[in-house]
Amino acid sequence: MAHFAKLDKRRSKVIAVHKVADSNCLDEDDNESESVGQAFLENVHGWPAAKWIQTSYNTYEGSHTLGGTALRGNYAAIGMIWDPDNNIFYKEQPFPSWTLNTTKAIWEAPVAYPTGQPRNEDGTYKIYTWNESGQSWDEV
Amino acid sequence: MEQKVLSQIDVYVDTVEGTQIDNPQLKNDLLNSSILEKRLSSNPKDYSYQDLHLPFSKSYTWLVDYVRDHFNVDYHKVLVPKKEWGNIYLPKESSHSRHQVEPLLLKQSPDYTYIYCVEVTKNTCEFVMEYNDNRRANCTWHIPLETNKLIIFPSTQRYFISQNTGKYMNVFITVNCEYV
Repeated sequence: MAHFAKLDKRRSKVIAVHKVADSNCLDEDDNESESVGQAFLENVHGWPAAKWIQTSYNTYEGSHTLGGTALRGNYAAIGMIWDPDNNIFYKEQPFPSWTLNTTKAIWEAPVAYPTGQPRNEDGTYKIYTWNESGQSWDEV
Repeated sequence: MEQKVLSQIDVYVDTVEGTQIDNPQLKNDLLNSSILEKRLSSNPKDYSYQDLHLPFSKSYTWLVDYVRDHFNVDYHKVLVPKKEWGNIYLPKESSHSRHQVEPLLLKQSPDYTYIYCVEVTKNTCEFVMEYNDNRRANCTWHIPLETNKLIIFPSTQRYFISQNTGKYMNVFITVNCEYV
């Protein structure tokens, strides 16, 4: 089963994700082809082929969870941004100071999230939230 | 001073682009309904008497898809159609002033209504919404209409399509929706 992200009319945001049977993505040599899937979707949904971009169900933050080849950074979801220059899907920028890591297709804070899994006195894990004005991770 | 907005009238205006909606086919479907007198109501005194049956078609489905997907991504509400129809206004004709809720059946009434301009000559008519701004009652908000324009508004709002000042007929589709 192939998955395709449907982009909005400005071709910038994901507005839906559709599944297509593998048999509808095969070219004349029986190889899976994105353009064949795009043409199939255009015919069914009346939405231009160029606004359907194939996405991988098992791709997350730049890697393939089953050890395969990652495709376009992340599995697309509604509201995600399509970046044709870097060929990736990513979420909206959470804070103005965060920068995009185009390899992993994620936004990164200027200060790394506390590592080592610090715990509270009762044994539960500490949770931190980003403080944009203080540029720090504050304990919740 | 802190402001709290407890209620608002949200109106959305868009131009449907990119999709392959076949406007001439939608117009033909509605003309067919008009000729065959396929109306939502057979009572000439009913508001729905002017409303023409809209047969199911790929183009209508693509319109619904367009509105659902774009509205959902921007405003996080999925619009689910409950009822749809078409209207044709000849030169000098206008619509009734109406809203789309049933006051005694509010629970089953729609949340939002949208109007899609199938074939509307530019500068020949307007969407006019009537509203009250506190004690300033009976205000109107005017939006010029043309082909492919889409207006989404709360179904509780009273509205009308102003007189067609052009030489040709103007054709519209209206859809009542719930949101989930």
